[in-house]
Amino acid sequence: MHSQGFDWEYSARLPYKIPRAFIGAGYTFSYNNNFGDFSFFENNVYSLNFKKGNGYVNQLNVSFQYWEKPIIAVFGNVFYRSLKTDFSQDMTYPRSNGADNWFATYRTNMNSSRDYLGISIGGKYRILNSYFSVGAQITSLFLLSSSAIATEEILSPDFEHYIDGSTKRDIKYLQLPDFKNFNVLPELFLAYDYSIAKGLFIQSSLRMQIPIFNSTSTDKFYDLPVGIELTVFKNLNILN
Amino acid sequence: MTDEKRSSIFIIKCKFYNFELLYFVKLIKKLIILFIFLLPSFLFSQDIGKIYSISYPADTVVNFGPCYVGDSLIEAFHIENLTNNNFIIYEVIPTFGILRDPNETFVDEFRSFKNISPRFPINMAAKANTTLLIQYNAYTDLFTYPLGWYHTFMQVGFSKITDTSLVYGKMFFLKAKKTNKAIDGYEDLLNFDSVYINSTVKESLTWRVKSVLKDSVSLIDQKFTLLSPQLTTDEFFPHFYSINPVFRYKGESLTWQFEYAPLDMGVDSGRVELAYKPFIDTYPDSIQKAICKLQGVGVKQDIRLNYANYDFRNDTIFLGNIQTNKLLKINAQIKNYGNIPFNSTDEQITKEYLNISSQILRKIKDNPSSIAQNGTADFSFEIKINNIGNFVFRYEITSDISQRNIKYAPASANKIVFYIVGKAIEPLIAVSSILIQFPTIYQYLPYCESISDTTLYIHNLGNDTLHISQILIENDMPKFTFTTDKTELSISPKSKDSIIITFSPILSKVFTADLLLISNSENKIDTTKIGLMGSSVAPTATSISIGDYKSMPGSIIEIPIMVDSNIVYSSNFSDTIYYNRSILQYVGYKNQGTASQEPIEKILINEDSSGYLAIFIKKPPTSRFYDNKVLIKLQFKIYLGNAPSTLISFLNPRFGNQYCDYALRIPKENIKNGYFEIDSVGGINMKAYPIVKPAVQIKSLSPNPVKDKIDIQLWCEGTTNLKLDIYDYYGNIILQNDYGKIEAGDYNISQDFAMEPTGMYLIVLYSNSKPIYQRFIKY
Repeated sequence: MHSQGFDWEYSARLPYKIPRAFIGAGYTFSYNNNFGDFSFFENNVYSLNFKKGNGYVNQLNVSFQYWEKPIIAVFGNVFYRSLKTDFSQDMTYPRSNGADNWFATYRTNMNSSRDYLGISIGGKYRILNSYFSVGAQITSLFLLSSSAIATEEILSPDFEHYIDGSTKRDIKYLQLPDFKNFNVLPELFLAYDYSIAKGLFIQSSLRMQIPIFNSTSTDKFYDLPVGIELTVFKNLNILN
Repeated sequence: MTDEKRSSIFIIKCKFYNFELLYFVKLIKKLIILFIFLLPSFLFSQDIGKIYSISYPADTVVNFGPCYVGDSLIEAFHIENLTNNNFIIYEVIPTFGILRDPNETFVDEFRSFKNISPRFPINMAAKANTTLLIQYNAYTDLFTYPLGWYHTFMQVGFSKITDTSLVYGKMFFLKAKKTNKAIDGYEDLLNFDSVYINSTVKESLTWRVKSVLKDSVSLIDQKFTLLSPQLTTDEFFPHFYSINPVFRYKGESLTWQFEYAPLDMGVDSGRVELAYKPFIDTYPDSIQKAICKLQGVGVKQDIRLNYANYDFRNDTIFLGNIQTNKLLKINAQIKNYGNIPFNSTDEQITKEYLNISSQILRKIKDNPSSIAQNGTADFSFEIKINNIGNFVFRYEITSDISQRNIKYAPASANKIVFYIVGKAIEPLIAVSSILIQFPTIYQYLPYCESISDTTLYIHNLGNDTLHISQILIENDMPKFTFTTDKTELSISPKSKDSIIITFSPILSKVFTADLLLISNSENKIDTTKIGLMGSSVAPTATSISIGDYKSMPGSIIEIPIMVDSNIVYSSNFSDTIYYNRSILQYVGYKNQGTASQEPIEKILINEDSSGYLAIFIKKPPTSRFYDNKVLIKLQFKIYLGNAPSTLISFLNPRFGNQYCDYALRIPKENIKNGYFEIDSVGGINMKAYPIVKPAVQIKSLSPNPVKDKIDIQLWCEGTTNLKLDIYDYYGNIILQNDYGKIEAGDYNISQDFAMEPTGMYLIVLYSNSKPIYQRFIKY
């Protein structure tokens, strides 16, 4: 019986105790889809609601994995996650000079950035004794920081401009809903373990976080990151 | 009161009583003497005796009838003493005497009558009676006693034996006819006297005929001959025997009955002849006739109106239209068209169903003598009719015809009735109210006249034209608070007219006045007084406001106009509300659930392009706004305009009613303007500023920065004049191009700019709207 199926005992003459515990470090890059409906305030004046956004997630993690059985492993991660999300919303207002009426369309772009420290625990299960496994984990996120910048530009009509004659401006005093300081989210993944040396393997996974919990405490704001993870594990003999 | 005064009054009273007592004693003495004188008459007439003719017991005229020459007739008289005293009849006056008729035709006619039994003196013992026989002798001496009627008076009575004064007596008139006819009648003339014409009952008289010579005398003819002209059908009706009768013996009497029923007025006469042959054996051709003349007079009472101071026809006096309660004197005259004198015994005015006051001033019966045929008599009376309408009453004259010896006068002849007819007229004023309370008027001066008017209907319930000669109003100060549109009025009977009374106060107080209608109506008084009352108060103050609102562009906002409960005194509202139309644009209103909800007569709300919203709300004149804090809800669409907010200002709010557009006061401090702010637009201060939508737009300006040539793409909304100027940084004009009039569409303008120095430039496009500015950089 081998853990994760790697046959690191090359011969009987060279007996090798297959390790059950591993420690590793990895990087995860995810494409993040955001959907929701949250208010955007400029200078404490409600301006619009963002509905949809997208961005990416960079995550560095330290992982511990323990093979309870040759086909089942449990693991835990500690990670740092950085989320960058761009939102865009068009607003069309009826505009009037008192005599003529027309419509003016404004587009507001917002770049949001959040940093989390997280831990996760989970398990994976080898599929058909192959190096593929499926797993799930529960991730707890602790908000470290968040920030956003926004701009607004006039899309139409051509003659429309701001009071200073420009057609684009920075929104200096903006307010967004407060993001939760702590959030728990489930995550599913499909992983492939590849042994690169005795007691050393790389886990690559395709993973998706399930947005069952809102990211803000007031408005609707959900993250749906789908990404790729690479983590290098090395055995830990102490737990064999 | 002093004792002296009391004693003097007592003496006066005693003198007065003493005088009356003496007068009373004298009166009693006179009555006693009168009684003593009258006592024998009472005694004689009732208790002393009886004397009467046996043939004519009820009559004092004793007709012996015909008596042939040389013959005599005897009539018996019954004499009876009814007392217990003994009396005696002497052959001398006063107890007995055959006396000369002063009107005798022949000399000493009385000598043909004499007493034959008993002999005088005749003792009339107590309760005794006797028969006195008086004989008439038709002496053969025709010279001294010719043929004809003989008359005498006979006095019979008895006296006391000791005293020859008459105790009881009676006078008779005796008459007998000395004739040489074998048959002759008791009467030569049957006089029917006065018989009313056309009576249904005939007057009947009997003619007694007696055979005075011998037995068995037969009549050979019975004949009636009318002597008077026969103007009508028969008026005399003789009843002859169907067979000529026979006087069987001497002294036998037969009777013939004759009736008379006149058909016209005047004397009618006829003659009856009974022919017979008195000596049929010796002188068979000798014929004698017993003749009697019939005479009657047909009479009629015919009293007609002959004159009246009003129109009259037949028995009716037509007074025409007369005023009620006015004394009216009627003078009339009657004329006697009948053939009998007329006397009135009583006259009276009778009326039914009418309240008529009447008084007869002069009666016909006041005439001293009867009204002879064709005579006239005047009568007059006064009447006063109290009620309006047609009237008829009667002047009834009671005739004395029933008391006179006129036979068969109809009952209708007892009264002569004249009718007086007419129509009592009177204008009768009636007004719909005796107190007119005007509604409270708000003192709108100087904005409006504070006037209220009402119509007073005046009815003429009478049947004469009502003339209101003066229509006056007695105002308190100030004068002319109440006025009318008419000063006089004439209203036809049973119709109405109206006057308009105007109440126009100039002060805020309660006013009263009296409206006087002076008319010819005689309903109690000729002046009708109507109270007028009205009050004027200062208009009530109210308030109006619009709150503060905010909303995002594109939305529809409902902005209510807030009012207070005093608007219930008004029925219309008008104002112009001003606001920034680049922010708010009126789209409609809601009045359901507001003070302006149905019923409503008109709601006009118009917005012009300058942002003036003219509002006019009008309820029906008789209704008022409801007590609701919201006058009306205005709906606006919100635009991102040229400012972040706008005031919503009342320019001249007015609450009015049917009397005045300023029915409520709105002090300035009670007007609160509204405020609207654009909401939910970020960076509103950057966006909300005046932007003129150009008729020409620069779609693109490239390249920018430019080096050699700049391309300008334009879009033109419509036909416009186009001119392009380029200025440098210092405001110097670098280039001017006038493109003249261009049509709508896209245009591309290329401008060589290679020769210009580097720096910032400004393109200005002039069109029919505001200029368009665009900067670019030359490098």
